[in-house]
Amino acid sequence: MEQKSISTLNNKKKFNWTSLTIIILTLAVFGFLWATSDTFFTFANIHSLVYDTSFIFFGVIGFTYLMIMGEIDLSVGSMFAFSGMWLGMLCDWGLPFAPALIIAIASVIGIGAINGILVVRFRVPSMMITLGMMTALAGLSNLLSTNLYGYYYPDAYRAIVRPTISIGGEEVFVLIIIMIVIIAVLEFMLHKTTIFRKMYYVGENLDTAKIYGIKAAKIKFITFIISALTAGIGGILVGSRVAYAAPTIGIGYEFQMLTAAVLGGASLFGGKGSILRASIAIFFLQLIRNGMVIHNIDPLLSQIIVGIILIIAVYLDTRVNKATTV
Amino acid sequence: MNRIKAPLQKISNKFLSKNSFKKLLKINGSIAFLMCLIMFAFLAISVPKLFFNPFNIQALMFAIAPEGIVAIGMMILLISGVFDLSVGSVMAFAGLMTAMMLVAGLPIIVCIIIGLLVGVAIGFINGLLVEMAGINPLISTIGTMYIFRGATEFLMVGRSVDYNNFPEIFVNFGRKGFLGVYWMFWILIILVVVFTIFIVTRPTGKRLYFIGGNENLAKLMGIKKRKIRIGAYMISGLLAALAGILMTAKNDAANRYIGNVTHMNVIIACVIGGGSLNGGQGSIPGALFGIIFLSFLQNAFNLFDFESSMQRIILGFVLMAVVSVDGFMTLRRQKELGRI
Repeated sequence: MEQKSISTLNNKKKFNWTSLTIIILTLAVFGFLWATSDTFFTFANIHSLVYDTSFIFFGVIGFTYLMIMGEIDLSVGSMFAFSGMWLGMLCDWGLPFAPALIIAIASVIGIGAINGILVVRFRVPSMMITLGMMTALAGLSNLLSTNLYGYYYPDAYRAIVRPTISIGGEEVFVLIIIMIVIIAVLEFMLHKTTIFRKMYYVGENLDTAKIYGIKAAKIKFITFIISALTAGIGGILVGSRVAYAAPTIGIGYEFQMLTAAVLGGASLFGGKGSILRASIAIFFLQLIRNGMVIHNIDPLLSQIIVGIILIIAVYLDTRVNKATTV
Repeated sequence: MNRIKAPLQKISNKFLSKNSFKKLLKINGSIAFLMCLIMFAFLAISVPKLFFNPFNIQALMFAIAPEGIVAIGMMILLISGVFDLSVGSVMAFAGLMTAMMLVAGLPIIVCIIIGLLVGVAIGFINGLLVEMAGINPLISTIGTMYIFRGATEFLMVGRSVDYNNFPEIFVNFGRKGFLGVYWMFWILIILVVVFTIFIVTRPTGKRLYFIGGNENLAKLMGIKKRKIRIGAYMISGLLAALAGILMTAKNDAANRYIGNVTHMNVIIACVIGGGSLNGGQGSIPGALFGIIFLSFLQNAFNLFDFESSMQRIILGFVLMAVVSVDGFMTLRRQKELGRI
């Protein structure tokens, strides 16, 4: 305890080895698959893996920020389904693409604001409010998908995820580049700007943060909007890729994101988490699924494996953190 | 009913206001009861012929019974301050286990006991993960939810064996009844009565509220928090397994989709019925009224021929409204007490 306080006084952080867990795990699985399979380490396979990751990645941004603040948003999965289909519905009603997109984004922001205002105003557990929003949005997107049955989205909508860029003679989706840039920018801002540090302070100790004059309620409210917005953008991208209102979009995404955020070091008690590591964790989950297909393991087993990994990761996390804080 | 509720009222609400209507509202689960009455009156007046149709009553009983049984266990967990998302997976997995044993030709009673023991074992695992390993209930029960849903699918998909055509006695257990009420509904009624009496009269029941209300204080009072919570998880697993077995018997087939949305429905019903994720509040009849309200709502949508997705939209908003009102009341009470 004494040593810890001295080290904080000197402002020298001891390097936290647990933060590397997910990276080491990913590298290990990656190396294993590379060594045991010929088809794994091909450009096409890796490219499609990263491409798959880039869709859920957008939802994970807001989700991780909320977890850093000690809140949770379970409505992200339904939001993925809703935002894409709502944009499709607006297009189906004959709106030009640009205004339709603006209306869709605005509605998504509105939904995030409802979540935020209820949680902040009435101090209700965010899990309950967003569970309600999740149910409502799932119902809405169900309604939309039955109404949009047999309708294919217009070309302007479908073109969003299409553009590719050639790097070293291979065609790479622009979306992947955007994802990498966003990760780099967010990671940089996390370390260099005060706005993002405030989130950690709020998550670590709400009362202390308030004493230091951090407007916790306002930050939380904005983060709920960001969470809905990023999930909404992800949903529009998925809609653009799938090109019709598939009723299966977004099912179970909230649990995937939760798993990814927790594997990436976030804690349900707040104060911890990282976008970079959460993104790596999504890639890790995709790797496992990919590896099971490559090695002819029944993909139905992947749920069991993900569940076990989740429990072990959190168990280790609790043990390590208890050792350092108590 | 009042005799059962009176001690609960004493425990959960020491600070009653003078207004008697407000008093009534503060009795745990009364909001759900009122909502049930309103739905019932609405249905009975607007579509009496359809609503009191024997087939409709049957459908209602089949809808209420399994989820009600699961809700009892969930409410016990919520009172003690934790919850269990794996109940739906337990239903499917325990049902499948019983079905597999039946197909293998074991005696019916043995098969049912094995199914129930599977549920108890999963509940025990959940309890260990939450209490001994110290993993947050959200994460640990999502983990077990994944694991046992995956195990059910792994054992069922693409296998050549069909788990159906069970012995007639077992199927009748799910489909037949006594005095015009199905066995599963009798079981639900008995369980509600037994657990309500247990919680109201036994010290262990009161300890559940203490643990949920203030964990550390309960520990200081010498309450064995770990033991009680692990026991609560085991009861929840047992009841979920029972519901799964009843569903399997009623369907005369193991089904891997059983309980897909049960965990959500049951938690929503418990919160409507006066439970809280913060623990320390709720009552078993409240949970039952929550489930009955949800079933009435679903029934109303079916009878009026609405799209089923509309039902989920309204359900979501009802949940948000109930939770917000509850939060608002708590906030005001704390302000009155000067805690904020």
